[in-house]
Amino acid sequence: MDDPPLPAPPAPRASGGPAPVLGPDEAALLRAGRGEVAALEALYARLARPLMTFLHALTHDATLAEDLVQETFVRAWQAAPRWEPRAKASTWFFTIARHAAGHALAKRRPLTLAHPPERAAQAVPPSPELGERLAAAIETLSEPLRAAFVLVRVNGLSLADTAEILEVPEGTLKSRLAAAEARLRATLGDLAGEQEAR
Amino acid sequence: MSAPCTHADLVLHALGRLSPRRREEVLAALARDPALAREARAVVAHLALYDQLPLAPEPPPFATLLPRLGAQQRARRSFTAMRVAAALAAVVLVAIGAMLWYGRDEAQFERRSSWVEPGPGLALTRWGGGGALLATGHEPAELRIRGRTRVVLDRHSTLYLYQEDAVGLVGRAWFEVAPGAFRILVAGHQVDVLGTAFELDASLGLLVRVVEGRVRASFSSGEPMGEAGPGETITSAAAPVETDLPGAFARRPQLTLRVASEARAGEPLEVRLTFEAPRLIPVQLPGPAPVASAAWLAFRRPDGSDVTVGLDLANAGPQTLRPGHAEMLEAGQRREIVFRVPLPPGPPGTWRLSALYRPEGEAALASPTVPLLVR
Repeated sequence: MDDPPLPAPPAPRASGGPAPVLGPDEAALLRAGRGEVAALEALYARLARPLMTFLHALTHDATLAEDLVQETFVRAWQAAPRWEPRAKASTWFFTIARHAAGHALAKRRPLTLAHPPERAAQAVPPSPELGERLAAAIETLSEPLRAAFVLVRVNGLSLADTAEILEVPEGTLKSRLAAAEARLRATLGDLAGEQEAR
Repeated sequence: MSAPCTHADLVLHALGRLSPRRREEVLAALARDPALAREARAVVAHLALYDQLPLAPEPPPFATLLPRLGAQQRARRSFTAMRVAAALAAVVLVAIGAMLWYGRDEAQFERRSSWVEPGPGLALTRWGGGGALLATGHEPAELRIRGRTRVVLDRHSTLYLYQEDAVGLVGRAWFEVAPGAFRILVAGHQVDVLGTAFELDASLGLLVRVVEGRVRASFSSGEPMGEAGPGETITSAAAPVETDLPGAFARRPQLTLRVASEARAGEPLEVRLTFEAPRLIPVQLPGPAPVASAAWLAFRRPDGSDVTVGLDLANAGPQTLRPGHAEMLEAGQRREIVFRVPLPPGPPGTWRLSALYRPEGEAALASPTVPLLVR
């Protein structure tokens, strides 16, 4: 008998959601792991924009976000040969992006300390365009709340995928979403009412 | 008693991320409490604002990434001659080892491939060297192992082939195991079977529902969890929630109602009730509950009034269902019972009809509504 000891199957996701599916992204990532640049390019075409949205909202710095998108794909290219189809490829990319952004923001932190976290209401310009006011309000959130809010509300990811990317239980994610909504609403005042009145 | 509705519930409701059950509870709470409903509207209006967020800048073109990928490759090439020679020697040795290893992996994969006959929509995929797995997408699919064990893999599920008589499962599957030992490993548990038919849900913890034979489950540590026979289940503490969603794993027959498209008031109406098993697995159809009306037909007239008419199962011919007699419907099998019922009085126009059957010891089966033009 040359059979190895039986390996345990992969653990189901903490959220209890469906097991991962080998979709086109996962197939492309497997090919990228074998060194196919074209497969990485296909993944880039699919995922660079959502990653850019996430990273831009997280850093509020277009140049840094561009660099982090590239950094994400470079890291993925390096790690792809070791990737196994136990999770969705997109979730894996978002996790890499979050870690890359975390490192970049940690290096930049002395600069951001100039803006205390309590700047909420004052940080929103008095009457800028609506989109800018919303973006500025998101920027006032702490990093964990901002990441949770952006992934679910802006990127439209599921709770299960977001919890996996942020490496937190779903219950924690739900609390973060509720806290983010409450803080954003406090920051923006009755902007929703004003918009409806127009 | 449902948990009170929190701010987090309102936010998840506005984001469309509540589970169906929790959504129902939150909607009920909103209907009861006007202040909560106002707060919910404020949350929805606030979250809707974020559709106005400006788009993020375009990501840089892929071509700008290539130098960074290439730089890594160039860095790898910047060895000294000695290092290159040493590396080459190492590569040759590794290549020989890899060829031997790969050959072994290849042989293992080929061997595993020979055990399994994947049905339509399934393909064997290599996993972790010589491993082999089968994964479903949005549709369930079936496969056979050694031509003896039939497995219906639910959608979004993965089956890992370890040995001829040992598989791993993530997700949900229906097993019909031929006599002989067979083992299923799921995260944290194992299930041993001896010739049986059962459903196994390993999407969270473990849930085994046995239809035939006996199944024994234990934790990975070897500590026993329990045994189950026909009609029994084994569950772990964190078992999946029981669901009755339509699809291959709706473990009950589907009831449909067919009538003519038109009818005249006062004339008898021919009604056909059809019980149908899911496409891939057999189900049990219990006999009628011992009550006066175990099957009835509901009419909604054009003026919105309702009337029900009992269906006489006892005199519905040889195809009828008898109390105390459950039947097995094979996968995809249908069972039709025909009745003739008087059409109740009412105004002409489009009526809506639905049927209901109350099986013994189970929740009622209801048919979708069908239209009937009454002249």
